Amino acid sequence: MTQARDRHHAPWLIQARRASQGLFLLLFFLLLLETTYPARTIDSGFANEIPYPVRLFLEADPLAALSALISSHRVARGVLLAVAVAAGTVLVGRFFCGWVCPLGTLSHVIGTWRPRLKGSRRIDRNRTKGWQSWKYAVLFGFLSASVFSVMQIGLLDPLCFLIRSLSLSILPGVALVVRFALDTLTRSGPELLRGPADALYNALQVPLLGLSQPRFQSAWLVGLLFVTMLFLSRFLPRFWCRAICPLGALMGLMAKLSPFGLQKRKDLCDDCNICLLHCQGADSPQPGARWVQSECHLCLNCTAACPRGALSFRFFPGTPEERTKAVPDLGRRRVVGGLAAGAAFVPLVRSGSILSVRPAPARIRPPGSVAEAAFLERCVKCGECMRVCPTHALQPAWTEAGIEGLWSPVLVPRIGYCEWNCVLCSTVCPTNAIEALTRERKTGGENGYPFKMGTAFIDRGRCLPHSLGIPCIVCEEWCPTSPKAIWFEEAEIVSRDGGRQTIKLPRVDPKRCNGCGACEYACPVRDSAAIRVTSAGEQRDANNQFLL
Amino acid sequence: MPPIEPPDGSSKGMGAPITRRKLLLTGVAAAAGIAGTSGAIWTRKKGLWLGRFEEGSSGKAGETPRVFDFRVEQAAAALPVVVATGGSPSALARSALDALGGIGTFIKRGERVLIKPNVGWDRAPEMAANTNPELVKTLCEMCWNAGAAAVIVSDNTCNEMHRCFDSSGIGAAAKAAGAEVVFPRDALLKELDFNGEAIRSWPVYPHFFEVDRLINVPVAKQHSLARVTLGMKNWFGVIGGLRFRLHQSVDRCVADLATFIRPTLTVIDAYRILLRNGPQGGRVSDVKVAGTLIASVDPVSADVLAATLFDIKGEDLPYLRIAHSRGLGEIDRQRMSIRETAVAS
Repeated sequence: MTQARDRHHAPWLIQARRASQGLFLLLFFLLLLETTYPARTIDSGFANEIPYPVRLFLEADPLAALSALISSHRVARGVLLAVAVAAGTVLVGRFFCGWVCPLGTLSHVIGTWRPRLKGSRRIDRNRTKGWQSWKYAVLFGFLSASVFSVMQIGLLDPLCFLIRSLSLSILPGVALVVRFALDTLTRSGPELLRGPADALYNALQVPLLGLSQPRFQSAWLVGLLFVTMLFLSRFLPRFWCRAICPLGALMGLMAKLSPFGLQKRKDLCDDCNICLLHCQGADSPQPGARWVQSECHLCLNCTAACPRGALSFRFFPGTPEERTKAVPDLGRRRVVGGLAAGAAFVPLVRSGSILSVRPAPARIRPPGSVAEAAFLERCVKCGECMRVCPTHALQPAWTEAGIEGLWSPVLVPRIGYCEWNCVLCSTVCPTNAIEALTRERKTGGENGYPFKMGTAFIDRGRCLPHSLGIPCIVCEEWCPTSPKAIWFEEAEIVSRDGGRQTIKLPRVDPKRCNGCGACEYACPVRDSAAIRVTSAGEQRDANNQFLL
Repeated sequence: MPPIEPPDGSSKGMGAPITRRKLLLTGVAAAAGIAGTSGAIWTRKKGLWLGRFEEGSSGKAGETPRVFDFRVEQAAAALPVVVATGGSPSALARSALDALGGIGTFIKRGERVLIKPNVGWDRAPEMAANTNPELVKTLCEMCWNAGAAAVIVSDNTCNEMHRCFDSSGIGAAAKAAGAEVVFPRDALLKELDFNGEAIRSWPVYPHFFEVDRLINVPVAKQHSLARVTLGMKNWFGVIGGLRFRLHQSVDRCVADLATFIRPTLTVIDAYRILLRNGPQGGRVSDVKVAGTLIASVDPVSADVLAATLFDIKGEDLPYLRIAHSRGLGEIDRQRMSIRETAVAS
């Protein structure tokens, strides 16, 4: 009777699991697409808050919370959600991987929709493999580096990985193609289609296309890693989840405590291995083998697939010797190796970088950013701030912030400038690397000084008035501070024919300049601007001050 | 010769041979794709998409400047320059337009109207960096009342476009009045031969010109190079390209644009004027509430009178001198017919 009931329940549960995966994937995409400018209008007319909980998934991430706790001894924003997810994992196992995680769902779909592998080859791939313990090495490596305040978890945390890949590479790539198609249709398509193409463009601009076409430096690598990872899932189902994912590893460790598990009835089993054919976690669901609880995603495929009802999930399942091993199959060497590699990474990056000796000029951090050491301890490189930045001024660092700062946000004024009245990046940061900043504090209000990210310096050899005697006031016109940080010295110059003329020479008042980069952005000298911002004087760093 | 079948009879998967049929179909598809793409690029390069925009211009290619003329035909010269003072932006607009004979003088039933405010910066209305939103709303409503078929509000902003339209209140004001807000798209820019003195050819947004009437609604602001930015300089906002370069010869460029674009009406918002740190401002203390509005069919006269609010004489502004010498309007106050209206507040 028991097996009959189980078999009837299982397909219903599979539908529920699929619905859950679909809904969470949809929710994830909706929140990501809403992480963009036209936001709710608050703050006396300025739209500076997004009316949706766009940090939700990152706040629910126990790994990000744990790393933040270890590296910066701080409790992350929205930590209760992460605690709840962790508690749920301890109760039932890796439900997050099988039912919630959007990256897991994408891997799942790629691996099972018209699968590349079939039959016995698929069954072989789904047997528990030794390399599944790589992810524990990854986890311990990152965590041990975190102990020494080198925080790199964002590189491979699945949510950071996914948000970064989509925000910086995949969505901009899609936008480029769609924009080209709609532009071409509006411009030179058949008369009948121009109106609809224009309307579609306007409808898609905010959520998908971006206010202007987003372009992010080094996005090719971000995207390449993502596409490669998804592609691998066709040959090794859920390769990421089984071998790489440090969040999966952390949840695997928690799942070991779970009283919920797979009950196998060896007496009913005829060794058909259909459970293995459908297994997502490669956790050995087949009776006769030891079930590896830490690997199971709770996808429930095995219970639904078993033609004899030999498998079922329940609290306190019997036959403990079949249920689990005493410890997850980490491999002691991998644990020690991971810890050692993580610890060794610290002196490697710190001694190999001069950035701890002198500040990096192009490392201009978003407004509200904490001091660099704390910034690196907090930033998970998720790319939310870069996605939300309305001018695409925030770019993933490539070499600007050293190897530790790879893909952390830096302001690149030649691409975009920091909009004076905008504080959106500080509202979406999940880890407070960019601390919540009010518009009042950022601009200094009516009489104060603005939040200082850096300072603009004029290159007199390239500046049109300074060097060529050509009138130009564009940097001053664009300077948003009041009084303006750029002012004019009137000077008389001699032209080639001996004539004299008066010209306005721009000068920078470093105390007023907030380093927003509007001057550099607008400078008519296009390749390398005649006025350029560096991080000098940024208020968050006591070691980067140059004024008395 | 029959196609060679694989031994197991299957033609799926990687090992499947390419049949002649498949090869031909692929070839045809690829050729169609390449032809379509090159066709699209060709038509784009030829500018075949232009349509109405090309017909709407009255200028001719050659050495004479190209002119887009939106003026009303009848005896416009007889109309006065109106200086309205002492009320809300909305009341000022109504008072000034009444003095000009009502909006019906300019907008006829069924005409498409574009209102061009200054929405340059991500600033709140109190900062006087952008045209007053209430004024824009009132003008939109007036155009609808005159029977306009379409009322469009558009500007090529400096700061990020959506933020400018939101923070300035102009986007909401236009929508409240039922007008269409058009955000310029760089993809639709068209390089035009203007044959001006400083601007020979420049990329422009066609939608600004694909209308029957064009109303210029700038805000009066201090500017470090042009000294004040008023009506004529507001045309910087209908062109695209690398506009930053125009400042190297700002007076000739402003005069050139005023030569190319002859608006139906110039309505200068001087309800709040920006005295310092223009053209963006940033502090309430940079702003003076002047409570004034200047409306005229003569763009030069309108700018001359607005300049006086900054204690600047029209003759002292080189771009107005150039515009006057080109016959674009009157620079001498003595020769203008000025009508002052005071709104009871």
